[in-house]
Amino acid sequence: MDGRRPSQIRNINTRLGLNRNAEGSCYIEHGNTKVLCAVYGPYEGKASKRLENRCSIVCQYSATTFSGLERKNRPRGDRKSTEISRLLEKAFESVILTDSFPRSQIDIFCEVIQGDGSNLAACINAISLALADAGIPMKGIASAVTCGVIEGKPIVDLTSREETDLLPRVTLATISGRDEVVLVELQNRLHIDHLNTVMETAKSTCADVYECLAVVAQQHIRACAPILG
Amino acid sequence: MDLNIKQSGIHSCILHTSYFKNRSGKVHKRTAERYLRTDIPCGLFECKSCAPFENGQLLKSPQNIHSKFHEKHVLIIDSTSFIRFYDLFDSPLLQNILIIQTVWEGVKSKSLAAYKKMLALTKEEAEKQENKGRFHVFHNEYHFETFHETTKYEDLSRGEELLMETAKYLEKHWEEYNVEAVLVVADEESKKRMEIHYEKVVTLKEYIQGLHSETRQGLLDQMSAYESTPTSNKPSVFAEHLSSDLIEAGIKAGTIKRGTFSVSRENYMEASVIIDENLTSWFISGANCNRAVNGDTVAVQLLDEAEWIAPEKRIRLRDVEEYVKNAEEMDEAEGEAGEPRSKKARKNVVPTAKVVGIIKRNWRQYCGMLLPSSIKGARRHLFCPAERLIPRIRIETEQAEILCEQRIIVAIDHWPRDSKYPLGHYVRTIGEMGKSETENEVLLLEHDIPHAPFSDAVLDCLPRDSWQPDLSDERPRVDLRHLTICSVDPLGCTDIDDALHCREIGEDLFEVGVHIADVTHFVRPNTAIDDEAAIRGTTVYLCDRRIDMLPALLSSNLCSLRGEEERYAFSCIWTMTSNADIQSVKYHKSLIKSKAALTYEKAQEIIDDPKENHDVAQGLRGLMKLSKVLNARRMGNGALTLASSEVRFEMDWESKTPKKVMEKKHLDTHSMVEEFMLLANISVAEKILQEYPDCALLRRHPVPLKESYKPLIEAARHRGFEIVIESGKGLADSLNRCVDNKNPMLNRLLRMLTTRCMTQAVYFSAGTVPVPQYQHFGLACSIYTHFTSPIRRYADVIVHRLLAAAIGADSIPAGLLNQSKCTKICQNINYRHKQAQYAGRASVQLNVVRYFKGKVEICQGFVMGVRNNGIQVFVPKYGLESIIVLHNSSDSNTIIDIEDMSVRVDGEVVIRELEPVTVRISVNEKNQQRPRVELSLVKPEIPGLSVDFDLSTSEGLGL
Repeated sequence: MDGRRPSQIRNINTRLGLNRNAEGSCYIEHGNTKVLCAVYGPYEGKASKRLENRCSIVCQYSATTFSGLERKNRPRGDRKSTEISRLLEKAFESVILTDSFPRSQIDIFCEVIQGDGSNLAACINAISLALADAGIPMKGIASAVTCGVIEGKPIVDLTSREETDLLPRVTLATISGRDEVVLVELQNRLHIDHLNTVMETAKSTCADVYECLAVVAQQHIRACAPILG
Repeated sequence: MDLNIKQSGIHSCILHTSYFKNRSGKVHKRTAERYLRTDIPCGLFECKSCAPFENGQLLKSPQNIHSKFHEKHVLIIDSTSFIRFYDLFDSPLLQNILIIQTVWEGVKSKSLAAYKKMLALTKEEAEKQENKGRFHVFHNEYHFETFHETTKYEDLSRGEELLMETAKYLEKHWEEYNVEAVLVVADEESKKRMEIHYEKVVTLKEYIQGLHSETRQGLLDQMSAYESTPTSNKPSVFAEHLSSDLIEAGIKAGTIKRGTFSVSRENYMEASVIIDENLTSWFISGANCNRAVNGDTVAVQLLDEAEWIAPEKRIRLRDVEEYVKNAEEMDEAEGEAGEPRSKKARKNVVPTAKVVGIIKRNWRQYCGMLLPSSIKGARRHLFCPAERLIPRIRIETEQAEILCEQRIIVAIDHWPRDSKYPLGHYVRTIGEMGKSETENEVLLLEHDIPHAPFSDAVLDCLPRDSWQPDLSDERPRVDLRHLTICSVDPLGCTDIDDALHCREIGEDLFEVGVHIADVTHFVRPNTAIDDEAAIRGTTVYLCDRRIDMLPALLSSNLCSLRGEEERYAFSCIWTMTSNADIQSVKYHKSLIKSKAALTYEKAQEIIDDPKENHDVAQGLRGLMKLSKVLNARRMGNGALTLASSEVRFEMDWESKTPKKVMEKKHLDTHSMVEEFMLLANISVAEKILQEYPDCALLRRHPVPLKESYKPLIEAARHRGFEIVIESGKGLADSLNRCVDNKNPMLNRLLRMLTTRCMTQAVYFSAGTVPVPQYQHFGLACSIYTHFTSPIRRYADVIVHRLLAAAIGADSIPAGLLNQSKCTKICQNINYRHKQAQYAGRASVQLNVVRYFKGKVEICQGFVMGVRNNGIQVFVPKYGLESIIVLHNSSDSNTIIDIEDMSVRVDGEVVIRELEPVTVRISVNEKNQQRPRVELSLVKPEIPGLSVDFDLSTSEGLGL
């Protein structure tokens, strides 16, 4: 559709530590999909959300008015964004070593500045880097990718043009490119025969994305090293 | 932006902006990334730099084929030349063609027909060996050297610029292999524009002219149709069409209606358009038809009431006029006829309209032949399609002498305002005229009947030859082998799809079963065989050939309920009293063993012979008794008995020529089988409707409109009978009363007229029309479907699946519960069904001509209608219907009175409608190319009524 081969992802571009108010922040581009993410915490947080044995994670996903093709108000807390928020919370509860911070809370804010497909995957990648920037201990850097199936063949990193069809699409997130799945989401109906090929492709692509993210994180640490001493 | 992806082949990334309209008409801007690559294969066979990505096929077999370019050259075509001349690219003369992506997209958005062709050429046909390497698609818009966001040349259009860039790049890319990239464009103007920047530009015509090949003339002929530039000084014959905006606005405002244009079978200058659901039709005549061709979807506008006219009631057939004038003069003749007729005050005016625009053309490719031209060596010729409702088509060809002897296929290209005929081009030759294979091929092509042999994929779906019935199948099946079942069919029938049984099971209680071949056991949904059957829709019976819906192994063996063989069946079993009151009904899949496969005649014999007393005979007698009761009840409800003009030929199979004509005889056993089939169909219809109220496949026969009975009432009135049309029952009763002892055929003729008043029965999906309209008018039942012939009708296959699912004998395929999908299936089978009927009739007519070759016979005929300039005569013995045309009525004493439906000579009535006449039938072979059956009036003798023309056969079809 846009000159990539079916298994090629879009160009990834990142910047870390943009927001000095937040503990960690990240701006990521998957081609034209642009996401800004900020991480606060761990801090004491609200008493109502406090858990005795581990820290709670609160995530908020939102998209800007101008993120889509049409300029329309995208309210926070609508069903779609709430669903995505909950998905992200669940995913990162298993990524972050939550046992290290009992009775505390981590807030994650995700804003899609420009949406061009694979928004959820881009958010996961952004959050991973922001958490790394914040120095929060994790099992590894989570990386994610969205895959679709056309005529039985998997294609990766869908753009919004590719997403508009009735195309079945799977978003998969793994830790450190290994075989540890933290999130799977399926939209539209997928034929059972295609499930395996899609999952395999998604896993290997996640590993590719992880390598990109890892390089970014390492560079960032090196850049920060003099300041931190 | 730097690229950090570790992926090969991507050179850079640009942002590509496009604009599009959404559903509500709002324009949106979309910016998407576009990755430009370095690894797009150029397609050249030798190219080493592209070899790692894909092995190209272009120039694998270089030929020394062109005078201007040396032997290794690749053609890069532009979209206009493909859209306009897509038929040309079938020719193997054009080799090594490169289609760039820009052209691909352009063709796709502009012309669906051309796009389909392109797809076929590049994808499917590329598999064939001879087509290897003829085409290659180059994705220029993703190549880093051939795509630029900004424009470079201001004098070129965007498409031309991209084409040019590609050509330039490829020329350089292929330098070392000594390959030329030649740009081929459609017209001179774009050639001129492009030449400034790139030297190797030719027009398609120039290119073909330069080919070293004998057959290039054929290609040039195909092209020439488009070449004729309209001469502006010619007077325009037709009014301009309105623009689509105006039409759309008119339709919204209600001043313009849309409908399908259908030309009258009797007068080619007249047509009608049905504009709404209530079958209201508007009449269109002469130049008001404004270049519409039969079947087009047109926009029509009602004329002022003062301009309304009555149909001419005059027979006007092209071949009739031609009889007098030759092709050259016809230009003028039609011109005159096109002028508005004198504005006499007329009675019987009907709403008259004119065509203001064409919404969708229904053009296809037409079979037919060239009309001989009087000028030797003329280039422009008239083509006469076999389908009578299609106008003559003007084509240009250099090889008229050869083509005159052939049946050819021609496509219409356009119909300019200043031309009386649509302009077309020659596509291909079918075969020599007059050969039986050629004529059959024409017949099948004209009726759009898929008749290719079954593909391997279809044949793979068949069970193996050694198939045996197996009761341990996982699907429930009842063993009915102990029942005395027999089948009754016409002689020589190999696809037996129904069998019957009847036995007494108690005091005044009978068990009656109808067993239908279980086709769906073999034809599983969504297999190749199912898809093929769905496309074919029906088996087509021609006089000398049968085109099966299912492969022969199924249709005449495994699914055929042959005598003494175990077969799977779908049974519908009733318990009824001797009054044929149904006590209960059950359906199940079964295994049966038919005891006897009888013919109608044999069954009748068994029933009539009191000595026969075995099981089969008793069963048949029981069935016969019950069927009489059922029949009487149905007639009482007002079912119509209609007549048709069907005849059958006894064929000499070796020479494939007809030997004898048989009229279909009617026996009691016919109606016996028919009654039970109707009963089964109705029972099944009730069952599936109850189970699937919004997607059951049913069959309905709409109640005809009152107006459509007009010819029938008129005809009957002249004979002194009254026809009641208030209800089906009234109609049936009044038809029964129409008996004239002096003219025994009268009743049958009236019934034939009745048939013509009605529309055809159609398949439909339940829930798409209001429930009262579900009814079948002809059979006088409130609901009906087709269940009994799954071997030869696809509708029955669907009904079988629905019923099987309803009784839990099978799982239901997902697509079947979808109303829109069901409607789609219905549309196709309705169409195929209609075409199959027409093809069957055409085949009979074809054989009538063959039969009469060298024969003359005097026969009785009947006058079916009287027109201003002739009479329509029907010969029941051969099912032949022809027109006897009256010439120059001015100087004879013969007067035709259409009010009274009679012909008078010297004031005395000699011919009246529905009266018998004696005619001589012979084959007119004056025109060697097109012999036709000719009728001439023997008794009563009327001077002037001599020439006649066959109305029922297709024009130009003949032996």
